[in-house]
Amino acid sequence: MLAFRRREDSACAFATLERVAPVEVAVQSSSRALTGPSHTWLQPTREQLTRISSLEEGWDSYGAPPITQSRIAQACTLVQSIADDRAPPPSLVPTPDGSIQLEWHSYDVELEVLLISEADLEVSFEDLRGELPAYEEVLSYDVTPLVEYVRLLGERAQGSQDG
Amino acid sequence: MPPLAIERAGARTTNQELVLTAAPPRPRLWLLDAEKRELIQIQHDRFIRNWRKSGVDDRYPRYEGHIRPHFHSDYRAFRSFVEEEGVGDVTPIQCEVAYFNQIGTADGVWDSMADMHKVFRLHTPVEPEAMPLSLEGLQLRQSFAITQLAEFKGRLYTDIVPTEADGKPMIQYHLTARGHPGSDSVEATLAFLDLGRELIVDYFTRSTSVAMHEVWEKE
Repeated sequence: MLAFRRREDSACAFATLERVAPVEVAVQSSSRALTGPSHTWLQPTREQLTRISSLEEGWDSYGAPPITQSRIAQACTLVQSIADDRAPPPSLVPTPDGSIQLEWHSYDVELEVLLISEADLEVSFEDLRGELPAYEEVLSYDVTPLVEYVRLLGERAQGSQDG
Repeated sequence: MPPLAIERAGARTTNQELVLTAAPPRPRLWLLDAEKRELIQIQHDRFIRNWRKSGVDDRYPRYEGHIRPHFHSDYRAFRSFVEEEGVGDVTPIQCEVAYFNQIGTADGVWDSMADMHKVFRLHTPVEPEAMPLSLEGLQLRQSFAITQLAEFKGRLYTDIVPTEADGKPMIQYHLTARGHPGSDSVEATLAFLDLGRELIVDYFTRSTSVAMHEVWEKE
């Protein structure tokens, strides 16, 4: 049986180190780095996350906290898991509450994804051509709608190149 | 440990090409019992309970009679401690149960990497006799979506890796079930662990050969 003693005066080490930055974001050395379906997203994502990880407290001049390592890791994983090589990579925008928002504003698609917790993503979508209905939901364990919107972006980007 | 990656329906499951490097090490507590078999690890985003073999005669304990009840009582104790100390909330967003199997050579079934496929029912290699080839090994990674009542619950990953131990061929067969518990309760976490463990045991049995089952029964 596990028993924990009461904490007397020590600070929470887990929470303290959570904010230590910056980290580096690197391309893993494997053949997939050259052949994977999302390789055109890798470099811009890496550069943006590296820049975001270097932000210090007050980066927005209003006392915003640095972006946590957890959010950077979460963005890194999410971007790769929804990547469509035909679509433009997202802009990664730090938010004043210490999180990150993924944004696409192209091909008449307005798509924003705010990382609001480890599991939850606030997704906002609008198709300026009116082909798909507007959408605003918090997604947790099923990101199928988000993948569909990225795919739409990819199809339109490809159509633009072909046409 | 690597950053927590949430299992999500619709998301790609291939290996991640971008990784965080030069990240400061996360503090992780290791709590070992006197015999060094029972291990609890606590990190900012994980509560882990392991059983480790510490002697050659150690037998893996039963899930129902040992692993599950110990996890249950220790996890409850940890949650109570966090609540009483007011250091935050324990909100489980993902659960994981993993089995790490090491399969040694077995007389009459396999004694070299050329025969390692005979341990499984997953793969039949192309007959190499007509070619100047001899099989040297097999690696296989699979992922399966876990769906219950049309709801995505997580994924089962299986990994087969050839290795060596004491100069002899050895197969590492890892099975991991990972997914979301559905609610914050301890019972929901245990329910996912039960499901994951059941899937792992069932898949292990279905994926390994009858010949190996006979070897293990004799042991």
